[in-house]
Amino acid sequence: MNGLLSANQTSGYDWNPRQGSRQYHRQRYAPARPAAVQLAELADIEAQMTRYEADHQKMIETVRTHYVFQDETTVSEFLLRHRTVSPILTEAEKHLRACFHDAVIALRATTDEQGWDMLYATVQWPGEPEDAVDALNAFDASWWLNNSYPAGVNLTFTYRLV
Amino acid sequence: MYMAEGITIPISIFDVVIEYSKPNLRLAMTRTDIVEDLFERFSRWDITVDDLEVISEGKPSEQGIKFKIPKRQTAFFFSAAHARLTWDDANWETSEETVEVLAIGLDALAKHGNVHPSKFKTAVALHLQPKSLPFVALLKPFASPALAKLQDSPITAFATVLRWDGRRVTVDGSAQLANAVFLKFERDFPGEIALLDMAKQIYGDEQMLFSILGVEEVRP
Repeated sequence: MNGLLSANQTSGYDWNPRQGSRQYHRQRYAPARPAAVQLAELADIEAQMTRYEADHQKMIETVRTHYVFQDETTVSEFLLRHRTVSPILTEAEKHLRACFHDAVIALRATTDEQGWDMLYATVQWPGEPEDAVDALNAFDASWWLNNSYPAGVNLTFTYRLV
Repeated sequence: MYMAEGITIPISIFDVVIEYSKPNLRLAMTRTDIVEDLFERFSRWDITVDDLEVISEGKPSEQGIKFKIPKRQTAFFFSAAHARLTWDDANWETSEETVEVLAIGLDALAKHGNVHPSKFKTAVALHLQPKSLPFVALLKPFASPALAKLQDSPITAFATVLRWDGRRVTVDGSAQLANAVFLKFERDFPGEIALLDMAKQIYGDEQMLFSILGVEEVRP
């Protein structure tokens, strides 16, 4: 396009209905609930936010017990920015163990030049490459494909031969 | 005979930052009353709890509460130091409703935070798509002839920014649309101005700039 002074000539808001991160995930819309009901939920918003923050910190500590953070700062910052990922990693751990057994799983966060965040959960696989492929396919089929939606497109499970 | 070029405006944004006469830290600490009040009053536009966002990152003046009103494509944010309203798909036909959103926000800030506007910093950003001319033909008259002569080939893009005390105008090519001009005009208003007077002035600015650019809006 032809903007010379700034590429950012928008408000930054996306008002379109949220698109599914995977085409096969259906969107569900619900009508707004009565204001009084919603207001009741806001009554102690400050306390809710404090509890929410504490719960999330606890969840990150749980993730830390199952995964190796390759870079403490970038992974922690990613998990703070993407709040839905920690519960998924916690839940995924037992499914990864079922497929990859005792292999070490490392977390690495990256950000590309467009600002797009990605977290890689990489199984450090000491065995044969074919077994790693089979294990990853089994993990995808048995759990990940059906549970990937809340993570959006910011989480990738993969393996590395060691 | 001179004919204004017909344009459509596929993207239009109105933005206003409201600076307070003095900050009130209560708006950063105990916010339940104002949040409930705003939620109740904005609920006529069918907002839900999911349209409320607590901004807890950045400098203290940047942290606050943001209400999104999808039905109006409008967002209203307040912090301890300032408030901001952003309206996408801005148009004059329904501007009274946005003035109403702004009035609700200002009233709640005065009632619960005892803060009053000292300055309104407004900005209107429009992407103007000409019906027949290439966009650069609309921009060309503003390029300095001396500079244009530097190269013996047609100008392919041009941009200019003018700034005065409390006012600024930007004319550029659009970075969002093919063959479109980006026009942004900003103006500061004193805190005591009536909102409708502010709207009238902004409308006048828009008409004046359209006339200078030689364009006229055509509804698709």
